[in-house]
Amino acid sequence: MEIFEYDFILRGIVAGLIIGVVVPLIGIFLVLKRYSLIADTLAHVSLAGVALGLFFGLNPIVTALGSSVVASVAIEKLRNTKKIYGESALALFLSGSLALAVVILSLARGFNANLFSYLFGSIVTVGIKDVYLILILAVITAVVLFIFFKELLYTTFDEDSAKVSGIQTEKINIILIVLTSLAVSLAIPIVGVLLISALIVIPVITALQLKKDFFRTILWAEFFSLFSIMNLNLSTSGTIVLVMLAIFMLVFLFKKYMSHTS
Amino acid sequence: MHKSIINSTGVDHTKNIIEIENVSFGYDNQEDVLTNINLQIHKGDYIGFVGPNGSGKTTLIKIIIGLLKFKEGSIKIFGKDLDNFKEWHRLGYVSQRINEFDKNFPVTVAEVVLMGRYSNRKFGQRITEEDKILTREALEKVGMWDYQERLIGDLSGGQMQRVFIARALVSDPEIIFLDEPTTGIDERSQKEFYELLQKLNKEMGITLIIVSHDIEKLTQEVMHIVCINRSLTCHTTPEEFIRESQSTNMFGQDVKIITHHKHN
Repeated sequence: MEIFEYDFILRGIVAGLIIGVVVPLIGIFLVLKRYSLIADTLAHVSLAGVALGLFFGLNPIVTALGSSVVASVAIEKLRNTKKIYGESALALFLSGSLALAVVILSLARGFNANLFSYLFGSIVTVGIKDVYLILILAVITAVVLFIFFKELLYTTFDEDSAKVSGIQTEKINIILIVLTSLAVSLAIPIVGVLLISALIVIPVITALQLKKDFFRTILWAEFFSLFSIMNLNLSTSGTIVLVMLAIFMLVFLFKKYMSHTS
Repeated sequence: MHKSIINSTGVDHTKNIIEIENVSFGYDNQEDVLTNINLQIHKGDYIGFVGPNGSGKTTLIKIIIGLLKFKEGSIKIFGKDLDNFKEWHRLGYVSQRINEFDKNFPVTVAEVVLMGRYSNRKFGQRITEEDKILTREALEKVGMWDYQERLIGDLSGGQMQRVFIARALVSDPEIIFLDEPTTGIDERSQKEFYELLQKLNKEMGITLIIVSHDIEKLTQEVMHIVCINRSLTCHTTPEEFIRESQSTNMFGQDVKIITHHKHN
């Protein structure tokens, strides 16, 4: 295992595995709520946050986190007013933040190369501080998910009935979307802005093909997620996502074949 | 109008459990959907809400259970103002779910019914062994225990609706609201479904409020009919309702009421 002699690879792998565990836990609720694109939107908001961080010389993960949390709450509030369609709210934030990132980028040409690593992700850029930050965010996300698990499940399955049973569904939706922005921000250094939603969505939709109960669906999503992340090599997010897509295709075709033969 | 009757289940039918006074509802800057609704619902009642499409009958249910906020008036549930009402486990709700329902949602029948226990548990509190026992009992009452490990999306419409009844039952409610519960369900399952509702009302003393466009079926099943057409236009017995509706055309041209008398 020669590669483990290099600290940065070890750091990258540890960070990747933490992300691989946490992200499907959020993804399952987003996919089932037909809200997959929120991850992509928040990733672009994070990119604007990263650009701001680099511009002002702050830790880019922290600024990415701050901007995506603020944007996530704003998106949810906007959606709740019913004055604007849910996906239009997403489009608004996606294009707006990308525009902001591009403008900041052109203002300061000096850090283009650095920003590039946030677009596509790279394990090389993961420092030891980043690993700690990712670990803390991951623990917070997992603990909050654990506490609100039953409320999240009921709200996702049947929002009206959940509300009638006394669950404050607006608050639960805000919690989910803030957790999403946490997960997106913590995953960005590894997989990058462009492929984050793949990480959140593909393991979950693969697991859904297997038609299991909720708990087993999560376990399978975890398995697919971690298996793909293990393929993290010196090359980056592209490999992970391609492996995920390949697994999805295999499972999808296998289930289709099985349903034809049975 | 209501005589003091205490029937075999010991339910006091004179006790008001829902009091609606002068309630109006409308969306922003639009004409009111419901105006000046006054209605009392008594313990043990089995009430059918009828009215043409767009008459506001579903809206009224959604207002009572707090899904929509009304503009004027007051609603009391179990003597408490709706705004301060916290004992949500005393209410059950079965929506038109099966029509818009995600058939691929990865939950089993038992998991769905267990959700009904969440209102008896506080934030962050875990599900207990007692919840699981009650889930089993609720599924047995609706005859669906054998299906507990099946995925909800694999069931037929009638079976699904029984599971949603079990989910409403598992929190031990005193009232269950049903919004068009038999839409998209075949005739035989509908018959079994209404038999189940009679059992809940007669044997378990649960108050039932049901919205349905199937007026013919409702008049055979319920104790009272409430007609809604933007305001409350009648509150009467099924027999009286049939007499009235044959002489006056209550709901305009579209609605014909054909009556079959109960066979029993």
